[in-house]
Amino acid sequence: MNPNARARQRLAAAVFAASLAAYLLGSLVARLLGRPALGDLVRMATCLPALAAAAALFADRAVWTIARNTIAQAVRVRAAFVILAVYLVLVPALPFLVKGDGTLRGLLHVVIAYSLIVAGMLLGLLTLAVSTTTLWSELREKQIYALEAKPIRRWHVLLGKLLGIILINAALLAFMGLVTWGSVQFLVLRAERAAARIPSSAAYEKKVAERGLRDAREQVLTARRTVLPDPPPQSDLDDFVGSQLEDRCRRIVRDDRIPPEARTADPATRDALIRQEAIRQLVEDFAKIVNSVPTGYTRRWHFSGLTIPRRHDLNFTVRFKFFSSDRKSEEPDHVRWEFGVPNRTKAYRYDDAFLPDEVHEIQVPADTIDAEGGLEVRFQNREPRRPTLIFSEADCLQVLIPVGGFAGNLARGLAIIFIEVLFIAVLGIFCSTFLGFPVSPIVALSVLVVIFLVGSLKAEFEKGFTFDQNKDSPTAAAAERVTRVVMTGLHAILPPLHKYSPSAQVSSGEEVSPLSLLEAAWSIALAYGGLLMLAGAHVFERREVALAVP
Amino acid sequence: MQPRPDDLAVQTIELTKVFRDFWRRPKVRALDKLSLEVRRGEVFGLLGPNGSGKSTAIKLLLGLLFPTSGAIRVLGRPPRDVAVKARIGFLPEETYLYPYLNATETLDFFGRLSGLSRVERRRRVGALIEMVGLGAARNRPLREYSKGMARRIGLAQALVNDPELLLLDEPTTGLDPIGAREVKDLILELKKRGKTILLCSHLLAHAEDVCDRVGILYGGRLCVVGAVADLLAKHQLTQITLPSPRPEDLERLRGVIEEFADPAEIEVGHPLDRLENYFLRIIREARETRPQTQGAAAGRFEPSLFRRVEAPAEVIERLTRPAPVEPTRPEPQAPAVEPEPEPKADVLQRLAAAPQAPEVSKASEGAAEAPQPAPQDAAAEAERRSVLDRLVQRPKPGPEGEKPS
Repeated sequence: MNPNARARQRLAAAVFAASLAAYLLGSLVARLLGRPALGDLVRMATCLPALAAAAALFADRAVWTIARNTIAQAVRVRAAFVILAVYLVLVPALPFLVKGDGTLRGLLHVVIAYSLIVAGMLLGLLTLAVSTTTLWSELREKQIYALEAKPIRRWHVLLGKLLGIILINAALLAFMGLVTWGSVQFLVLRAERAAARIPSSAAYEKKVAERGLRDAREQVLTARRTVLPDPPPQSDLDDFVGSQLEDRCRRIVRDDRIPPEARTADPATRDALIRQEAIRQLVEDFAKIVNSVPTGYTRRWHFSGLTIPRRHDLNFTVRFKFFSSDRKSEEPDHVRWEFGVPNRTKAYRYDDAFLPDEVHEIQVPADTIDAEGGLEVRFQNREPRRPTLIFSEADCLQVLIPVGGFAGNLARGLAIIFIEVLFIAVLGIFCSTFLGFPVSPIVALSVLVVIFLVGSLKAEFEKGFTFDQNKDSPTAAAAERVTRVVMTGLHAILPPLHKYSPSAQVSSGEEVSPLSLLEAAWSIALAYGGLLMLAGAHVFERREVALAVP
Repeated sequence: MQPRPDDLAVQTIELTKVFRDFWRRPKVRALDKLSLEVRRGEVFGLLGPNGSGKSTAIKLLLGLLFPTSGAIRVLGRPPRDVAVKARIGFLPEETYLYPYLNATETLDFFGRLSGLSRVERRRRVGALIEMVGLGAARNRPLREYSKGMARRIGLAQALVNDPELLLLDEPTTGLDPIGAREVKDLILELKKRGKTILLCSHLLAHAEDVCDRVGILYGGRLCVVGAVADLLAKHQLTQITLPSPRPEDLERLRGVIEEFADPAEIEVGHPLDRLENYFLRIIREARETRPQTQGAAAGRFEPSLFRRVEAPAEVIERLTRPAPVEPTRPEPQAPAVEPEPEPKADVLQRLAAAPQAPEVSKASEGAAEAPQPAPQDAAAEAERRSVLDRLVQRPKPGPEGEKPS
């Protein structure tokens, strides 16, 4: 290795380390300040230098040579072909096998989701197998003896293995993406042909077919950004609390529901504590009242920041899910949706019946949006059985606005899968620097399982899951405390793989935003990739490679 | 004469290696205070029975293992120095290469890792494959190779960067006599070009043919080090070789000799040809009547592939001087290297399965010379020379214009 190359690699490693440090520090500060935009800024600023430094580290002849050999190994021992063969058996037949819910939209949804899930799982499997065994086989077959006698460093071997796996995955993923894209094009073309063949005498059928195509284009073959409604104005809350506060304080005293710490305090403190309790209760009540729509009542929401052209021929989606107080009913509830403000924008009204507990989508023309990008939405409960309809969860009502096309979204979804697979590769290589077969794949797999377990457990806890449903078991409460502490710790240090579900997003036409891609790139691939490769290189450098493989 | 440190290609000082188990408890003392010196430009043989620590020593020299204590210098640097690796070649004990690559890809791979340019690789890879006799098998994956072919590609791999120092772990194991002879001739050719070669072997005859000096390891300790000629010479005996005289002349000669020695100690007979020479002659005859076998063919040394190692004139002069007469004895507790009795040598001979060359024909020769033929076996000698000539001669004069030996 000539001195120039060595200096270049040192520089690249230093730049990468500096970017990583800046990213970690910046993200921490952004989180402490509660400024997510600052986090985005930090990620954007540090991403390019980190990627450039990583590329410079990979752009070494020894690394590239090892990578080529790793690719040759995966190709010639046919591991890559087996994965490809399984994929080619599982996926292309899919459009002919599934029917979905009978609509083109449903069919496309299933095909996209399924093909991306299969792609991610197969690549994950291949990557786990190759990354945990390639170094081990080099040690077991003692090929490392010949390698070690050549003028290369051991971290060249690790980086070369990683680069080889990255390139295999990139090639396979590109191919799989093309298959998904091709299947979608094929299905749309087939549906278009079928619609064109319907004679004009069958006007209704033709209209249904064209509607199906339009739905598919607007709800699946698109990239839509989610916008949540503005929180209710603070003044409403203030008015509500202000009008009810005195009454609520009196009720607390009358019903003897004074908080225990207020009982022993002096009168002034006591009054303040009672007031505090009353405000807490009223804020809770306000949220409940705001989210509940009794029969005959109308609830109003306002959305802002909808940046799409206000055209009649352009639709956006309103996605909603409500619960019914009438839990026994399996009948749909009759409701009225109104969009837009008469005289200011176009206004539309939908009277329909929807099942509770299910996600529904309706298409709304974009000329309901006002000049400032705001949208007024009203919902009236018109169900004669008189249930109260409740929008209890944060994402119970969303507006999805189209921001891009399907191909770009698919590409970003594939990029997220690629990032996830890259993490598996780094994890596998790291494990194989000090563990043999089959310990290293088992350990790597366990880590992946823990990551997903922690992710779903945290989500469950956030939804209010508790070990101690009846609040009477000290053991359960203690166990829950320990679990929460361990889970919070693990959640903080493990990569947030569970946060991203590209197959679900792409198949339901939700935008995989460039910012979320950037976040995934840093929080999964770059940060953990860098740290694990550094640790792996450290361990491998200090290892006697001629010993029996453990 | 004590060699100066910069004359040493390999130096170990009190090198000790203790293998430990999972709980870090010492299990095996594979090397015990090994102090070894290999001079630049010599062929050094590290001999010993299985498990004596030969391979461990080589692995330590390459940084595949780390020493428990002691120091190692390879070409004057620590063994894991990348710059050193660019100047050495290593043939592992068994050839551990990638079974899914073919010969060309294998050499190209190792050539890239050695930092050879595309032009250099293109030139060296093909020529090396021809040199080790794998021209017909160059596009077959290594998993289809026989043991001997794998050995040949392993050797080519070790030579791909034209190393100054070559570490060969059992270089002739697994090769047929023709292949073994080629490897030995190759070693001698490389030595002529100033390369240093450290080989370890338990095939004593092969080591004897090529080594300037040998060290004998047993139980991780160096029992003896010295020039082969000095170690093997029986200084109390003298051999006279001459064209077979008529029986009456022989009787007269015997009478004369009996004046100088006890008749019981005089031996008269025909010296034996070496089995190796005999075998090569038979194969040569068979080849003339039958077509080539698939797989490995006879190789041919390619001098243009190996540059001469430049050494200061003084060093060359010192190295070309006759080897020291006294064998060095690195360890006081090692058995004395008197001509007789030789208890260690006996043990070694019993352990070594390889046939020993008759010592009588060798005792008078210089260390680095190939064994001289018996004069009356002129036909056998002619055969042997022609094999050597064919192995060594180049078809076209290369840039360095090496004369066939």
